[in-house]
Formats: sequence, C-alpha cells, structure tokens
Amino acid sequence: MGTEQNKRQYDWRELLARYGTIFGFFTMCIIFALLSDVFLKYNNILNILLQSTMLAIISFGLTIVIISGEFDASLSSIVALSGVITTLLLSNGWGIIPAFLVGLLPGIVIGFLNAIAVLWLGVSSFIATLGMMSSVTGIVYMITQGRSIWQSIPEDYLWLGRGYFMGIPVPVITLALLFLLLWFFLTQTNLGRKMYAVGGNAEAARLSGINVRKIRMLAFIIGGFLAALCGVLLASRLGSGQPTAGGTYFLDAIAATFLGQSIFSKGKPHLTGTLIGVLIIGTMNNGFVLLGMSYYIQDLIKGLVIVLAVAVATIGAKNKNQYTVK
Amino acid sequence: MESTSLALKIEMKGISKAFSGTEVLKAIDFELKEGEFHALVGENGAGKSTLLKILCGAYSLDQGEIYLNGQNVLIDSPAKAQQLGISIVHQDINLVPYLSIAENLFLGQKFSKKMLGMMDWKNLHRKSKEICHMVGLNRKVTTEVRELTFFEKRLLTIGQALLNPNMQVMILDEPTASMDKYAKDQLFRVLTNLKENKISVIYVSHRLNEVFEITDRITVLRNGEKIKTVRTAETSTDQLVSMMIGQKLREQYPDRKPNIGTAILQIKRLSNSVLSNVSFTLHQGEIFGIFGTTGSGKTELIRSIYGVDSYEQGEIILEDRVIKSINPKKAIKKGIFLVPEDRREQGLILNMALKENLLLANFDKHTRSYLINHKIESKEAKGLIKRLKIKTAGIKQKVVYLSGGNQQKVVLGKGLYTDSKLYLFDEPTKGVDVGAKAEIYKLMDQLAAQGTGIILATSELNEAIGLCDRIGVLYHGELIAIVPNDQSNQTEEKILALALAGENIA
Repeated sequence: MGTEQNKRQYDWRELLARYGTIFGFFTMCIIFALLSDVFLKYNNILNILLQSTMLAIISFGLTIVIISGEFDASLSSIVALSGVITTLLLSNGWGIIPAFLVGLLPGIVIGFLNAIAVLWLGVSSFIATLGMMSSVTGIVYMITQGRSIWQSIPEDYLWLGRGYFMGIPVPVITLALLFLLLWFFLTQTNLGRKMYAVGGNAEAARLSGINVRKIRMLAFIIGGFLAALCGVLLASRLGSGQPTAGGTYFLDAIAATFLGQSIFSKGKPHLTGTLIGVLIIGTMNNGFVLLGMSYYIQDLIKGLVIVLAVAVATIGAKNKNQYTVK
Repeated sequence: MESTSLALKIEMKGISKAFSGTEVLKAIDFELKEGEFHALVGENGAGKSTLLKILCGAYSLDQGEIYLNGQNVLIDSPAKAQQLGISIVHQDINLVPYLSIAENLFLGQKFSKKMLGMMDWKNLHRKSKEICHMVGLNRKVTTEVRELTFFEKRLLTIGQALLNPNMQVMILDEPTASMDKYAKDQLFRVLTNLKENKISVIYVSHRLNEVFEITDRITVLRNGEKIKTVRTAETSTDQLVSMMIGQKLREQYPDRKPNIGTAILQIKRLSNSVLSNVSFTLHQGEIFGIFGTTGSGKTELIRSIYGVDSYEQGEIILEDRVIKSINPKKAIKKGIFLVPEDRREQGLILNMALKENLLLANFDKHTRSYLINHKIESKEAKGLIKRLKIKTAGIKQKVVYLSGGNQQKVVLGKGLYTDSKLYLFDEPTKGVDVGAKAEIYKLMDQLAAQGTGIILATSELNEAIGLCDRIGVLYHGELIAIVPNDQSNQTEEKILALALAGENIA
C-alpha cells in the first residue's frame, strides 16, 4: 500500500459535506454581526452559551439514543415532568438534594419503559416514544393543573441555573463536565464502543456476541436521565416548574442532533457535532431576536436551514465510493 | 418428446462475456426449440445465470449473436426482452403483499385505462381470472397477496410472465426452491400445460431428479464453457454429474495433513422447521464440510449451532457437556465463533473503523474494567492486520472502504481475536478474489493444525473437496450422508449426486 493512496483526495463535495455546516454557521454569524452591533458583545455571547446549555443537555441524551440506532421523542416531556416534580417537592419543604435526586428518577423510569415498549414489545421507537411523550405530558398537566409551580422555592436551589463559579455561569460548567463525561463514555469504554456498533449494524453486533437489547436499554435510560437533568436545571434557571417547559426542546434537540451528524463526519452522530448543532440553533434564536424578526419567520427559517444542512451532508455522503482505498 | 422435428425458437451463437477481465462465458452456443423444456445445469459459477441474464436483457454481451425465430435480434434491455416475448421468473418472489392478486399481476404493466387514468377494474379482473385459471391458482383475484401460501405466490409469478401477450420463451430460475414434493408436482402440471401452448421453457435447477422429470434436453455448463447438450432420455445422473465436474485444479488449496483429536462437538438429532434429524460429530483438528445446494439448510444448521436460529429437538454437546440454551454471546464465551454468510450485513459494522471491527467480538484483552486501553487495542489490531495481510490505509480506516476479500479477512480476524476452539464458516469465500481465497484456506488449515475444530458450510464442491476431511451432504434439511474425503473423482461425483438428487449413485 503506497502512501499516495493513503491520502484521501478531497473534492468540493467532500469539503461541503464535512465542513458545509460549519461554513454556513460562520456566514450566519457574520451576517448577524453586520446587522446588529450587539451580537458580538461579550454579554451576548455569554447569553447564547447560557441559553444553549439546557438544549445541549437534552440533545446529548437524544444523540446517545440515536447512536444506539433508536429514537426518543419523549425526552422533551421528561424535561417538563422532572422540573415540575422537583419544584413541587421543594415547595412542599423538601431539601434541595433529595428534591433534585427524586426529580431525576422519572427520566430513568421513562427511559426504562421506552426500552420495554421498543425492545421487548417490538413497537417502533418513533411511535412508542411519541406515545410516551403524550402520556408524560398528560401526567405533567394532571400534577400541575396547567399552572406553574413557583411558591417557596429556596434561593439556594437557583444557584444551579443562575449562579456563577469563578466568574463562569454554573450551567456552563455543568455542561462542560457532562460533555467530558459522555465523551469519555462513548470513546473510552467498551459500552460506548458497543453502542456505536449496535447502531451501526445491530445484526453484526449481535453475532459478535453483543447483547443488543441491553445496550439499547442503557441508551434509552441515559437519554431519559439527561432529559431529566435538563429539566431540574431548567427549573432552577427559571425559578419555577413550568408544565410547558419541554415545548421548544422537542424540535430543537432533533434539529441540533441531525445538524451535528452533518458536521465533520458524514451521517454519524457524535457529541461534538451535537454541541456545535446546539450552538447553531442557539445563535440562530439569538440573532433572530436581535434583528427583531417575528417569531413565525424564525420557525420558518429554522426549518429550512435544518433541511438544507442535512441535504448538503447527504450529497457528500452519496459520493463516498469515490474515496475507496483498494 | 418429439422435439427434434420442431422449429428453433432461440439460437444463441458464440456468446462471450467478461467481467473486469475475467471471462465468465466462453463462446457458448445454445438452442431452444419451440415448445421444448430445456434444462441448464452446472455448478455454482458455471455461467448459467450470466447466460440467462444476457438472454433477458439484464447484461449486454461482449460477443455473439442471438436469433429468435431465425431472425437476428438485439436484446439490450429487459424491456426489449419482454417485447420479444422472453420472460423470466426469478427465484426470489417479489410481490407487494398488501395488493391484490389482480393488482400484483398488472403491476408495472401498461393496461387500458378509462378516462382520467381511472382503472378499468372490470376488464382487469376478467383478465386476471384467465391468468389464474391458466396457472391453476384457485383464489379470488381480489385476495391480498399476503394471504397466499408460498406455492401460490410462485404460481402468481408465473402468471405475471404469462401476461406478456407475445410470450414465447419462459425462463424459470430454481422455481421449486423451498417447495415440497406435493407443491412441486402441482407446479409441474401447470408447466406441462404451457407446453401445449407451444411455449418454450428454459429450466434452471440444482435438483437433477426434477430435470429428469420435466425436461426434453439438458445443456451442461462448466466454468463458462458449454460442455454438451444431451437429450434427457439418453443420459443419466452420473453422466451429468461427471460432465459438470470435469478435471479441476486444486493448487489453491493447502496440502492438508490432518491431525484428528478427540470429539469437540456432537450434534444429535437436531430438528427445526428446516432441519430434520441432523447428527454428526466434529473432532479437534478436523475440517468438516457441509455441502448442499441453495436452500438445503446449510446456513440454518450453522446458525442453530451458534444460537442464532432455534432448534426444536435434538442436542448440541460441546466437549462432553450438553448446551442447554445458546445465543451468540454465550457461544463466543464457550469458544465458538461464526463467520456469517453475508459479511456486509452480518459480519461488519461498515461505518466503523477497522480496529473497532477487528476487536468487536472480544473486549477482554484490550479493556480493563470497562475502559478501552488504546495502546493494547492498536497493537492487537496491527497484529491481526499483519497476520491476515489485510490491505488498508491504517487501523482507523472505515471497513466500508476495503475490498471484498479484505473485508472478509476482517471478519476472520474478528474470529481469531476470540481465540475460539470451534469455528463455523458459512460460505467464507463468496465474492472473494482468488488471492484472498487461497489465504483464507491457508488460515483454516493453520487453525485446524492448532487443534481447533472447523465446520465449513459451502455450496462450492471444489472447496469442500479441496479442504475438508469429511463432508456431510445436506439435502432438504437432512444430512443424508457423511463421506470421508479422499479427493478422488468418484467421491466428488458421489457427493454432487447426493446433493443434487438426494440419492447414492455409486
């Protein structure tokens, strides 16, 4: 094997597929910076980061589930349920730590139930988790009667979502730690490796002695757990439990994860990609507000951008045979 | 059987075809008479399907001419073949389960429509009824296809071919695959009706007794060459078999010096929906071949041992211990590894790196308490790459970019990394180039020399004869014989006859 063949040849399609999304992101930033003098201010950038942290956590959850080859539409409803449960316990006088931990439980339980429905009962993951989303949302409204919960929530709890540690917002630190932890799990442990294998080709993974169900169940549970974590942190940031909290996260998390798949590697979900995807969505939301665009136009553009980004990545991927090393 | 007096329907003259420099058909002449049933037989890779694909327009020919009713015709597309009245009934059944019999029949056909593209249901159903009657399909034409039995679906695919108004030549590719005797007899009655309608049939089958039952003449292909066309009444199974085998080179196979040890695996009366009462014993250091045609149950047998398919009755005994329940994970733990039939679908995670694939079936060596040790990982992966001579740009290369032979070596490497004592190979050289083939054979020989037991399921007789110490012949899910392999021509003929006709001719 000669070294010349080792170098893959890149052409514009390959470049577009790998870096198109990033390029688009920078173009967007330049446009925002030209049209708004606030956009590049330190405070605004910090604001974007802060607003992106919650979306990042739930998107990481979705990324893990997608890596294992499944899908989870119920995550955004878990965000609401966990936030509501934690704030409800706090306003009933529970301590911060027990309320925080109990708030995480529904994520694990729902992840487990999703796994049962998909892996043992054989319901497709899209349908099963969509049904779960509806049920969980129902439970949230039964608990809250549609009202937000804000009474007598201790100040100390708000530190998680609003506080600073050595000048850095606590949620940003939480996110950084979480990113490292998940990155370590996915790339340095055999469970992470198996998760990619199961998502890549479940039958080959099974014949290699991997327990496909176990791995996928783990993915659902981690996904649910991260959504719940997002929920309790969001409640702290908002200072209340909102029954509608999950709302925008549903589509934004899907968008961020799929945008992420189009970054660097073609069609393979990965954490870094998702994180960048989240920043793109966050920047878009922020920039549109700065430019004073109507909420509806924002949705319209967001939808188009997502489809375009994924399409660009797919065009490149179609051409992959060209890079075959023989 | 007075076919000699009939006019020539099709004449193929000097047909040659090469794929990327390899000649697969060498100046083949073939003729088909009006109303004749003509069998095309030969081993895997003899060129049967290539020849037929040329005739029905799926492949273009490099050299040669085709005459239809004495006129030179150019068949450059499947549509053209259809138009000329040449239809093929494929071995696989491709029907839309949720559409009715009538809708499936007319799928993709131009059919008289009423205004605004509305379907002329009345006419369509009337026509469908005629077709169903012709093929003996006694069902309402509005029945959804998913309700049909396998046999009825087969009849429907023949009906699809009959729909062609110009229809004069029908090609049947293994029409009786996975069919029992009763269904086969019924199918043959339908086919005999075709004959009365002056339709010529080219019949491809691995089952020689069927060929003797229904055809008028037989053409034997071998290694892309036409050996002979004979009248069915004037030949016999053993004559056909020896024409199919011929003399073969065996230099690509290692010189086996088997050192057979104690029994490692005992299969006792294994039965499930495909297999019936399969029993055999495999010893240490032995390469045991399982030979049979497509659909004989080779893959199912292998998969049952590995715990992918279940078995209803029987026992699997590994080193004197009865295995109670098994799945791939347990199998690997117990030291059994399967190299599956379809490497891309079952053997590899295509979009993952080479090293990740190589080490996928065993994490014990390169992980400590769930953590991957990247140093050991890359050392082990490089060792396997070197041992197997895998051609790659590096251990991080995605396996999707490797060639077929190299991909198969990755699957073997995965197996080696498990240090198993029993390897199950299912068609390990399918779609693999000659060089890689020889290396795979050598590796199997080396493994056996180290005392591991090997089961090789193959539909390549040459491979079975060249490599195996004993060969079990599967026919319709039954292990009808276990033949010690002395590599003689008689043995080879005997095995082929057993596999094709289910009978002992020696």
